[in-house]
Amino acid sequence: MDNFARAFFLTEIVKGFLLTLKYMFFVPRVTINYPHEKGPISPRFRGEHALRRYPNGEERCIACKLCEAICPALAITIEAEPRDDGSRRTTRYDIDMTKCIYCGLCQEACPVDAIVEGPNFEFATETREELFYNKEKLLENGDRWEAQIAANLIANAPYR
Amino acid sequence: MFKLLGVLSPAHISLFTLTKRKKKIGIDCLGNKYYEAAPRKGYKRPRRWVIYKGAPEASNVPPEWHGWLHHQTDIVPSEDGESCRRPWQKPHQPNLTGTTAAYRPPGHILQGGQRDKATGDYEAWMPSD
Repeated sequence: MDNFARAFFLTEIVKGFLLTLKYMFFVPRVTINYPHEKGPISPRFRGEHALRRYPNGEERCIACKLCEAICPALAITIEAEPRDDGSRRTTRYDIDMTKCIYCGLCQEACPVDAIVEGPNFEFATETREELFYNKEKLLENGDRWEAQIAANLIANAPYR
Repeated sequence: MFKLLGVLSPAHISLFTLTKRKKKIGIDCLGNKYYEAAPRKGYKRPRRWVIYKGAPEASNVPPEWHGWLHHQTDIVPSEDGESCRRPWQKPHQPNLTGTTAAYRPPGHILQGGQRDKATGDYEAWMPSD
């Protein structure tokens, strides 16, 4: 009898519609119009990697291989030899972005703030091979994103 | 279907920009216009959005404005933000995947297929051993 009354008066459906109505008009909306509006992200956000330079244009990385050693996903490959002027630099710095888990340990390990995870997360690609970054690509990321990377590092400095 | 959605999103934001009480914050070097309005109901952050020049391409926000749009900072980049760039800094580029200008590693067949030689930091395995 109870079951029959519930089925007869469609109480479940009415409840369901009321819930829909509540989320349509009476609860703050959580959706945004994405390409135009964007969600908040932290200054510590860990996105696409970049290799930074010193203000005079010299690359920071000194090939200490700490990032390669700490990387839990073994995504980083480094080969190094002394440059003509005697300073130690990488000849190869590859990151396999398909292996990377974006844990941020590489940027924490780096003694010269060379490898950083920048704020960019819109680097999805159509093919897999575009995600095998080499040193040239990583340095280019740094050159393009330096303005915001530097601003975020300054904003974060008091807490580190 | 997706074509229709691609039209609706800019149409909605344009209508929103026309009717809402908003403040124009600035224009970046690519011609995108940035706006700000009062927070939405139930939120504390001001509502920020961008009207793209040309097709709406999410990765087309230059780094100077990227932080502001993502609420990382409240500092509005200055109009002559370009001039404080260092000479080695490069202009912004959208995500080029799917185009011929997309990044490909040097060993890729479209980049010549020439891989760097492996250096001698390992010993090759020989089947006779």
